[in-house]
Amino acid sequence: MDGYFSLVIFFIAATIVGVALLVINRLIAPKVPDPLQDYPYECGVPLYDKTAQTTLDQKYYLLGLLLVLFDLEAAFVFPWAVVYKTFVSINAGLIFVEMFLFLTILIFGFIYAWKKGALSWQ
Amino acid sequence: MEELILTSIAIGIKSVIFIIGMFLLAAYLTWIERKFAGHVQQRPGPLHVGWHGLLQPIADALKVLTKEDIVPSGVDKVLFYLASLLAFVPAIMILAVVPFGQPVNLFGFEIKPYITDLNVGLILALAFGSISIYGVIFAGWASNSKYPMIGGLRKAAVLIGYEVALGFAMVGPIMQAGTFSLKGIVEAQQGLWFIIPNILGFVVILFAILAETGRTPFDVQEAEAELVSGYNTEYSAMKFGLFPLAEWYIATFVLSAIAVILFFGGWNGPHIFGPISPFVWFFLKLAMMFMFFLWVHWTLPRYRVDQITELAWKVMLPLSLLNILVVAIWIMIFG
Amino acid sequence: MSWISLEKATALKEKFNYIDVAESNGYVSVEVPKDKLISFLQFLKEDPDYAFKMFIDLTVIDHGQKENPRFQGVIILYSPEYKERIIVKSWATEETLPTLTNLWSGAKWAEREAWDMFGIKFEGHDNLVRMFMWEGYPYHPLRKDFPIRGIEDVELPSLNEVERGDQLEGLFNYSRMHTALPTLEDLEKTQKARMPKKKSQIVLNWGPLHPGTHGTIWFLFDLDGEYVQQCDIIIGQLHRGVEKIAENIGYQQFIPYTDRMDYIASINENHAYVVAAEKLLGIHDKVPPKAKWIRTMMAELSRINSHLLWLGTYALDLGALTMFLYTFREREKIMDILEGITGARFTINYFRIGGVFADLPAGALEAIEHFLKDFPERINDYENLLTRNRIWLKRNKDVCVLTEEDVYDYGLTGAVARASGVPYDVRKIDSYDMYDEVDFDIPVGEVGDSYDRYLVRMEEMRQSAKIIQQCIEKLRNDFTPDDPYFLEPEDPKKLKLSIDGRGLKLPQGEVYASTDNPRGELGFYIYNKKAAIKPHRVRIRSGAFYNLQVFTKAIIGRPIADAITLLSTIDPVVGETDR
Repeated sequence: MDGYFSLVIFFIAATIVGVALLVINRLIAPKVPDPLQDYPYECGVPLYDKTAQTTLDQKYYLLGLLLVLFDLEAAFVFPWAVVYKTFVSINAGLIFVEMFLFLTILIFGFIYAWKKGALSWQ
Repeated sequence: MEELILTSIAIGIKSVIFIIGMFLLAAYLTWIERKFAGHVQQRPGPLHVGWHGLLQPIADALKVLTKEDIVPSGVDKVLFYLASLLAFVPAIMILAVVPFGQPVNLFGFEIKPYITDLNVGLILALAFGSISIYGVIFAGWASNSKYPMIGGLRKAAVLIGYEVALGFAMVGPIMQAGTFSLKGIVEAQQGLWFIIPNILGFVVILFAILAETGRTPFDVQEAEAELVSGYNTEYSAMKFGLFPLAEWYIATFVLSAIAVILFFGGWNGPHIFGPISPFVWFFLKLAMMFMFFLWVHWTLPRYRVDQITELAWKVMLPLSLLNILVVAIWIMIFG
Repeated sequence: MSWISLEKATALKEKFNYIDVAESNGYVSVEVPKDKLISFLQFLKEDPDYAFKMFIDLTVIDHGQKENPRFQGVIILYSPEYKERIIVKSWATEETLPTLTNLWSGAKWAEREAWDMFGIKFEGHDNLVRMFMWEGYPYHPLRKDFPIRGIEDVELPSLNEVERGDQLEGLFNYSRMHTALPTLEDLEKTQKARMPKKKSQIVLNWGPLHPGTHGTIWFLFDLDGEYVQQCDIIIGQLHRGVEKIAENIGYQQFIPYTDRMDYIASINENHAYVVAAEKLLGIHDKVPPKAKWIRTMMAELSRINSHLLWLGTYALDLGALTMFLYTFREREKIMDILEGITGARFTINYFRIGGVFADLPAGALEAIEHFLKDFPERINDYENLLTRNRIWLKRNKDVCVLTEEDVYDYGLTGAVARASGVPYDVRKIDSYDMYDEVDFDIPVGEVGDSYDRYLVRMEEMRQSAKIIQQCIEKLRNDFTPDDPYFLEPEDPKKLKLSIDGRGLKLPQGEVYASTDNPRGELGFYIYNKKAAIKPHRVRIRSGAFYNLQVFTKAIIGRPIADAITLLSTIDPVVGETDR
């Protein structure tokens, strides 16, 4: 637990430093109000749409879904990777074939997605 | 209880030393980058503040600190400030798990040149790296302006692109070392460095680091020709300053450190510099790595964002899977 | 000269008995009644014997308040098959004309401009809004009854207002009254008029104060995610009324105003105007050959200068910042040479009607030759960095293809037209100055994408270097410093030609002459009702203006990252589009 405790302390220290920088900036910076200084920047002309927080179609939606899938698979590969070296001397065939069967299925899925055109923006 | 408080204070002081050190280093990394870019472009770079512009980073830091803090109308205020913290804090958190050398004995004390050595160090580094991207995405949303919005969404696309390939590319060194601990990985490279069978994985990691830190072929989130300044268009003063500090300097630096640890044997090297030999080797390798990223940054044009995701999924992901196969066979043959 | 012959134009009369054919200095124009204009133009465009497929220019002449009808539309067309041009004129009775946009899409902006500047309505135009001025501006500035100093109706503190500013006398006392300026509400109205209906999700303002637009161009992108569904461009932030100034100033005095238009290639702007004025005077062939060689050489040097800036900013826009500084290194050398010869670095004012204002200084040829020795190697360096770069290829190949049809339809000229496979180069067609005596090739693209436009411009730089080399040899071997560099008129009483241009009168008539500017064909249409020291009407046909217009079409369906590629490869200069 000692390692995680240091991590928490470090996190607190980093946050304090970050917040302190922002606070110092707010305290010592000059304030010169100008009527248009808080106007959202769009090259100095009036806004056509008043807000930007609207629907904005992104064409990589399918890729986002695939990311969730593949990252889960990566999580399965990590534990296997750690023990691979120790197991390979005991039963090389099993541990090799086991994971590569898994990866082959993964790769088939990958090829399917590729063929369907899910890997490019649409 | 008293012991707990004492250790907390000790770790706290050490943490602050690390953070301040990182700040100073980052400040001078800006100087290095500007000098490097200058000489690439046949101009001298910073020259007038101090000897060869050596005081330039200090001047810049003071300038950023004393700039007016403008908050545009219509922004989501909490998120607006949180975004710059969210970019900065996780980036510097990676530092906590990066070991800079073996523990050394100095005046009877054992001094560890790292904050913590965890058995999941690499996974934590990966996680913090990804979280710091959310700072950029939040900045895009919170600004309520169109350029930041598009910039933030582009960064999300880039994240989707490199994340998977990065995860799979790290599997190779883990297989060889049999641990997630970064210190353990370095210790496993006493003999041959992991670059030898892992060359494909290394290529993928280079790509991923460039994409994560937003350096040139992949700096679509702030492509100044299209999006003015991208996600940080509405930011000013220190909350702006934290973004480049986190992305370009701290993240590039610590991720270069991780790349050196994974592939180039960390602090391993011939003991020709006496007791400080490990540090010298580590920082030498680190500097080479950092310079490599600068070199790429100042040479290449920029990809379009859909081309980045395509490159990531169609080239980098197969490469990283192939890397696993290569390493698995390598271990079977050579042990 | 690339103009339709009088016989061929007269032959049109058999088919269309209502037309009038006129000729002035070899420039044949055809006059058509307003109601027959469209059918006549359609015939000219489609008939295989004429095939005036390419739209060059449309403008209006104001003949003065007393005349009735007062306004006359002028259309200039080009036939790529027969390599000839024609002027078609039509009186705009009741201040209206039929729209040409159904025949040539390129007429869209020209008609907007004519409406903006003269108040001529074009019937059938799909969105006739102002081109340069903002919506709500009440006047039409190029009408003869609009004073050159503007109509002062807004009270504003003057720029050098001080506490006792009103007590200052004479020229120091700037009046408090100014011509109108647009307010934020005016801009909002302009914006809404340009894009009345939003088609998709958000409308992004891109420019005028934007690092990627190379000046003050204001783009409106209607975006679906990152993909552009609709686009319009608002220009005019740099509009200075150069055409109005030209009507109120002597011929020789107008030259410095031309180099404020395309400030990147000011020599080429001077060149176009000087050639046009010389052709109207009928002295272009009599200009001393030495002056012509010098002008050819300087124009090409300026072309290289301009293309280097284009290459640098283009690479900068695509993220390769380093290229920008590399090209500026070469540009600096050219700037130094130009400074040595002309005395100015940027807005150069060296050419005169009748020659150049000063001879080359000693050592100028050696300096240029020295630059040329190094230059091909530098271009190879640039090409090494970019041409085969995978990222560069990805960003440019098949991006925003412009077809041959687009070239004719929109009146595209210069490298943009040549990259689309149309070998349209005024240097070859008109062979003004010494271009018919030098040997050079016209690079032509195959696909018409951004990459072709890049390659064409790179090759143009090499060809320019080749031309300069030939000019240097000629100037060195065939001429001595005693040779004249400025035309001495045979009869100074008849033609008062001097370097300062005092008393220079231009005869009655009209002329359209153009040169190949780095940004496209730059044409000057000068119309003179009677011999006078000031022209009646000067129309500047800006290549950048027409090339920029195609942007609104080519960008549809592309992501905004390609907008920057397209804009850079079209390479407009706002000083010239706005004039």
